[in-house]
Amino acid sequence: MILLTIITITVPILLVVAFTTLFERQVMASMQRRMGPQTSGIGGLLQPFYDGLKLGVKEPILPELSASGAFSTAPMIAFILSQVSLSIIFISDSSYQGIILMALSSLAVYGVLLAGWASNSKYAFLGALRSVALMVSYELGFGAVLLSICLFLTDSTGMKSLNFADASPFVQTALLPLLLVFLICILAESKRIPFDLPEAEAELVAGFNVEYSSLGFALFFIAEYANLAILSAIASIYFLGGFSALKIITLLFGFVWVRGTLPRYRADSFMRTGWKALLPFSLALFSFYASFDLIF
Amino acid sequence: MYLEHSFIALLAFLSITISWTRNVFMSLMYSILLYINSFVVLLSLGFEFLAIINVLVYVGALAVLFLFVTMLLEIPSTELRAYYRGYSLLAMFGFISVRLFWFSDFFNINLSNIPSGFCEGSNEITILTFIPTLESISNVGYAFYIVYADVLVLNSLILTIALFGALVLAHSQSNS
Repeated sequence: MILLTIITITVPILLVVAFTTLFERQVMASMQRRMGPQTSGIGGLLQPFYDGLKLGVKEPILPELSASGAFSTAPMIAFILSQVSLSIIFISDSSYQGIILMALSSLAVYGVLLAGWASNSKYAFLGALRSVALMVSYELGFGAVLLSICLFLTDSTGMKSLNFADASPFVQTALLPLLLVFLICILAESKRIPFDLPEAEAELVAGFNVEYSSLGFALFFIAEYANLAILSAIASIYFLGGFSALKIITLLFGFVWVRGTLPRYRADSFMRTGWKALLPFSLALFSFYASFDLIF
Repeated sequence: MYLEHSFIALLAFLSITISWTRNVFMSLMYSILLYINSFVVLLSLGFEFLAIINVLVYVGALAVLFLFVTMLLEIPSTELRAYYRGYSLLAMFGFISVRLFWFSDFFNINLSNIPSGFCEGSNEITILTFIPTLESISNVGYAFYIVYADVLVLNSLILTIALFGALVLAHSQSNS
């Protein structure tokens, strides 16, 4: 019975990750006026599974000078935390949903940090330090956005109701600037373009996971896309009025669109944006909403 | 009861191993395990908000800070003096002797004849501002912002002064 529960929770998110990679390649190909994967399966539908098979049959390389405990544990941490993050959506006591999201994002930093440090490679370490600085900086934006959301929805028992579709349309419209901040923080937390300097594929090769081959890399890859999908699900719950597949797909399309359009930020630019632009903006919005809450 | 006691005993064991290991990285890993264990202990006591905040702040921010420091500075393990002078052994003996009752369940020690310096008194804690009809978060809010609001403001002033002190220290170094 427990196994059935685990399978019911884990398999959908793995399928979402698989088809998100295909979706991303097809959409980016359309934006760049070329064809995406077409040959494997009908219209490339089997491509993600062939990719998984390729990663699975590769030779797993364990560098001799690496700290092997941390080296093997880091992809496990990243993968398990991304699967556990899905449980946030299923928590019925919604006063803890946001804060558990924050705690899991803080823990996800360890997957990156341990991977980069344990690889015993200067470039991996550099990528890991930049990634950790990025993730920690943009978590503050998450926290400030959640603060503002918490102001709005209480019912008479003091429990927070997370069904934003019940709120008045005025509230739903007023929260849209927070949606913008939240989406930028999602891009930063999953280290996607424009925030992918730590794993800039053309320059640093792969950043913190450069020493990983085979399934270690696959686990990091799955963790990144699973985080993306789950955070966009949470964004659709908080801001777009409910957990709906169409809204999540629209958000994912938006993220792929951003990937196809924008250049990447430099390291000092994304730190400046996180601390000097997003955090004051979200805190100012919080005080704005709080003062409105007090007045009305 | 034995499950809760075993988690508390694990807290004790982890706090010993933090100073017992030679390797700085393993010391920090044990501290992260300690924080996660304190998360479980706080959950079993019913303080859910405090438990999650504990993990968020300690594991998510402070342990990352310490890991950054140990990863960026090369700390030679042969220079860990506390280990080589035997202080950590002394600390372990002192710890066990003072907290003997935590281990009494496991070692079948009868504490009734030992002088009372080795035993705790009553383990019941009375929370003066507890309102049973509210959740733990609301109780924390009630205690911080309504009952002890003056102490909270004083604490925040002290923290602000500490923040300014850190800024002043960093600034004056760049001038000289």
